[in-house]
Amino acid sequence: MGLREWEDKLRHLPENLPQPPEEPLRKWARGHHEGGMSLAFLKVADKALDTARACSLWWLQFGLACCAIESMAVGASRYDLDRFGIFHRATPRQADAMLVAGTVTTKMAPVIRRLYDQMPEPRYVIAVGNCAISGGRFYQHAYSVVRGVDRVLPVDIFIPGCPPRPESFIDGLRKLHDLIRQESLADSPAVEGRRPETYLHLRELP
Amino acid sequence: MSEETPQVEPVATTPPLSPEWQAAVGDLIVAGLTRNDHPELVTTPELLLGLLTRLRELDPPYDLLHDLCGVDRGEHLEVVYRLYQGYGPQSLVVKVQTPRSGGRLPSVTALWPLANWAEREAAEMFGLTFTGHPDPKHLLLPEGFVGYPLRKDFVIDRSDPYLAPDPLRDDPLTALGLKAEATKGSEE
Repeated sequence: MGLREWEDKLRHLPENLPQPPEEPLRKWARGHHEGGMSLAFLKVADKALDTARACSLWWLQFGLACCAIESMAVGASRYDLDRFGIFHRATPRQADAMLVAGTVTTKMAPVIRRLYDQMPEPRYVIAVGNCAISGGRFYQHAYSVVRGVDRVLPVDIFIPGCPPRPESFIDGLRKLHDLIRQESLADSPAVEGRRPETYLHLRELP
Repeated sequence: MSEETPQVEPVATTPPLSPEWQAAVGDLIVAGLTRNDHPELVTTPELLLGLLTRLRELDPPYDLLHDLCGVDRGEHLEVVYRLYQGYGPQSLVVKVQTPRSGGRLPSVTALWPLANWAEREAAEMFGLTFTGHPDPKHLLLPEGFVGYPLRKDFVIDRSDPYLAPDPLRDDPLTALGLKAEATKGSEE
């Protein structure tokens, strides 16, 4: 759905429809533009909100294999993810992004899927290391390794390496920042079609 | 099981079992040799529990079970018990052979509680049955896993969507529709 159509849809909302509590920014915009947000305000609001979201990315703290050791190194003081506003959270309900660092086994895949389902929208997934991308060195002969975590979750960023250097982590992180900064309120998850959540429900979850 | 007599061919350089050892456990083993100065005993599943119990009662006793694992020898399976002395210098290896299908062994969890997890792993990986095990379920594999992965003749189930091959990785040019262009470029 395009921006103009979305604006039209906002203008013609029936008044008796139950509305969510009005946010201050939206209220301010409504006062300046009859019936809905103006395009100029939308850009300003997008920039403010995307910057805020990109600069306070909270990560779900979990690790699966040796790439998790590298992610600890990135989080520690030498590379210091805190300067990007990144903190590790110990619960998926407070996390924005998930760092799948390591080998995903068939036994662990439903658990990862459940963690992802518990994260609030918008949520992002980064696959770190060759094992999480495609099975890595376990691709040919392993009986227990999922050939790529994108068979379980929708993945936004792939960081290759075995394991990747901390610089690669930060590079993937900046690419995720770019991804977030391209998003618009007009495509917010309240409206359908922001990100196609075509889940790969390949297996029945237990 | 008792009909088949396990055949063990000692390597020429390994000396036979010493007379002291032969006197101590000779009635409970079917073969024995000395490898790297440490005895290596081969027994049957029927004699296994009696042999291990006697080894625990020696002086000094073999009171540490260091490792327990299965081995696929091709025609038959083998379970290896590595024992150590807590108060002595010696280590010892006990080997038991079982047929590939329907292999049953007595559980040694009553002697060493440590054997609990090791036996669970050997059971799921090689398709063995440890009779008398207190908790006979999978240790590492997910429930419902079909097959015994550490056997040499195990084949991965490629119809499983998690384990299926990835055409983009196996042959990226074909998967992306770039195969023709790539060959054209190489001919030029």
